[in-house]
Amino acid sequence: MDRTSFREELERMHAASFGWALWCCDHRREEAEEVLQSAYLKVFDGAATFDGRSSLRTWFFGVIRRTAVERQRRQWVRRQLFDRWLVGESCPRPAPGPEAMVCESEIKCNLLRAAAGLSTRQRQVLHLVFYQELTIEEASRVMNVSLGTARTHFDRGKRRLREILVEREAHHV
Amino acid sequence: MSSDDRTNDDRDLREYFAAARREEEADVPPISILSLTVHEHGRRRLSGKLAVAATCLATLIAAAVWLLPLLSVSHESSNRGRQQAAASITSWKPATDFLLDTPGRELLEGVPDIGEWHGVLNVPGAVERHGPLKKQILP
Repeated sequence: MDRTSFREELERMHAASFGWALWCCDHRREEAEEVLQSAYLKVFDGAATFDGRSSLRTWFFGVIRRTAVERQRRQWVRRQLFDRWLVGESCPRPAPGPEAMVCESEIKCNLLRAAAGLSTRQRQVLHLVFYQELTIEEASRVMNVSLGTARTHFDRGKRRLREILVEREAHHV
Repeated sequence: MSSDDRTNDDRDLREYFAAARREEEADVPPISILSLTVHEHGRRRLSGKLAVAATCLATLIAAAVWLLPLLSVSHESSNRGRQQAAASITSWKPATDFLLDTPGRELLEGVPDIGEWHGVLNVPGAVERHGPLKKQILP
């Protein structure tokens, strides 16, 4: 794949990539933009190279996920160093971004609040399958886990998400 | 997507996620902004690298200019120091050297001077025992 068609392909899936980055960053929009930009930089600088072993979408989503994880790890280390040693106490993990709480549609709001009760891997596999319409196998490649693990997270995540959504609806009624 | 992933049981969840996707896709930042910032970032990185290289070079030159005179001075002082060390080795004396300073030691360091004989020979009554030998003619 030459550079131009590669770039066009990335542009075509930009919206999906941003959606994935948003979910990888717990819907903190600014963080998602930075993560996606860092992922583009990695690709154009040659730090991440596409070897064609999987689809471009699967590969690039993997780059985004790793970039988000690296960023979160750096932030965690920074929090540990500065907040605990300098201030004397550890700050809690930042809450989901304002987009998670203020939604245009109630259905999205319910989903995001319910998804906050899932583990990261459960949230990610559900997003990749239902939102991005990937197969579980492709999702497992993006998440860098085995197919069996991805299936387990998928089944448990679905079950838990439904429980939470039902609880929330019952609570509202 | 395989058939087992597309079960009808998940239709409710798919609807939730589809609604979220519709909402989020309507508010995606344009890629032109991101790609522009990518290029700017690349340029900034290049100029940043050049600035770092120039700073390193300037620091190296300054260090060389500052260190060269110091090195020559230290070379000279080390030579001087070596000479002083050699001199101090030749003139070194042990702390117990004074024990060897015995009375009359100076007599052992040279040939003693006995002095003039004239006065001794001029003493009255003194006989020159060993006068000059004269050759005698044998009969």
